[in-house]
Amino acid sequence: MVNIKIILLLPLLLLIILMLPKFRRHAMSRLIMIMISLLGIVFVLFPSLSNKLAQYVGVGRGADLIIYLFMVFSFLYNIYLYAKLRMIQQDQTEIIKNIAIQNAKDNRKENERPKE
Amino acid sequence: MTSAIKKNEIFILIPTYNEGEIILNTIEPLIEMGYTVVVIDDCSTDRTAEILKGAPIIYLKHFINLGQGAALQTGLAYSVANNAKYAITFDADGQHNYKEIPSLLAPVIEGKQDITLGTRFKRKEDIAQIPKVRKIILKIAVIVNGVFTGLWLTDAHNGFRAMNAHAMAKIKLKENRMAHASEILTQIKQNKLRYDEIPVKIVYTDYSKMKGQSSLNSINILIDLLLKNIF
Repeated sequence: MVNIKIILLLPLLLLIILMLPKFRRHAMSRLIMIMISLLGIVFVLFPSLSNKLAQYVGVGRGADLIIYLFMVFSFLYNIYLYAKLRMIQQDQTEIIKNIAIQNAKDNRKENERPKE
Repeated sequence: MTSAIKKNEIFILIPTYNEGEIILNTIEPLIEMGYTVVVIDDCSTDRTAEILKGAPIIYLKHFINLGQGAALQTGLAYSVANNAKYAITFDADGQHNYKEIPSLLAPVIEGKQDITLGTRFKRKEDIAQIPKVRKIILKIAVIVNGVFTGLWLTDAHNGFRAMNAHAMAKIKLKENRMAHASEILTQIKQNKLRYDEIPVKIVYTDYSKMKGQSSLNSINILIDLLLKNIF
């Protein structure tokens, strides 16, 4: 039988390994991901720790605490992604606008155009 | 209108999306009047491009559909780059009356205003034209706009506007979709543009009612407005 700890640890370790190369690029977001993975590993190895922490902040079980934290994190991450999406949309708009202007077809007759 | 103004220095900006059925009717009188007609085709999937082929206009095309706000911004940027003296924003679906361009533009040409905005709510006969549900939604939109932009007008989302080169250069729309109408108001205020509302008649044809903004879409506009104020 495969232990649940192995199932949970493998992806967390994989995530850390994926984050390490080219660490200097996007160092901040990579560091956050590594910290969260490490925290996950600690909780997997020492489940009683999450229970203690949960009771300390007034939540019954450690598993509940982790779910709550996960919900908060995903909510914040969604907002971050939305902001990013808007930035990409604005860049895209700018590109399409510039292409439209560069490819403008002036089909007026010569005498109708304002003289330069 | 002052005689010194050449008609072809007045750019009529017409964002269009799948209005092939009616676009020629809209632009013909404008061409006749001698205005420079700039159609911004927001990636129409109908025959718009084909239909416009022979028309003596300036044709700009978005190769991805972005929305009316983006199309207007493309038109404005083009106008600035091509030394337009005045720009009019005009709906493709025939809701606006070309005969009202001179009265809308007059305060701008006289140098009294930088931008004028058409309103359906100044003349009794115009108000009578507005469908009932529409009237209520527009009045709510007027309040929402007032709260968000600090500009209290009589009409909202009226796409008929006239502006001078100064306003053209200052207005930079970032809202790709319909919330740009409120964004224009914000930018009027931020850039301290001089503005006024001029009565215009909006023609509610069956076609424009079918193609125009559905009343439900006002909820989408509101959400866009809210998000814009957060990010």
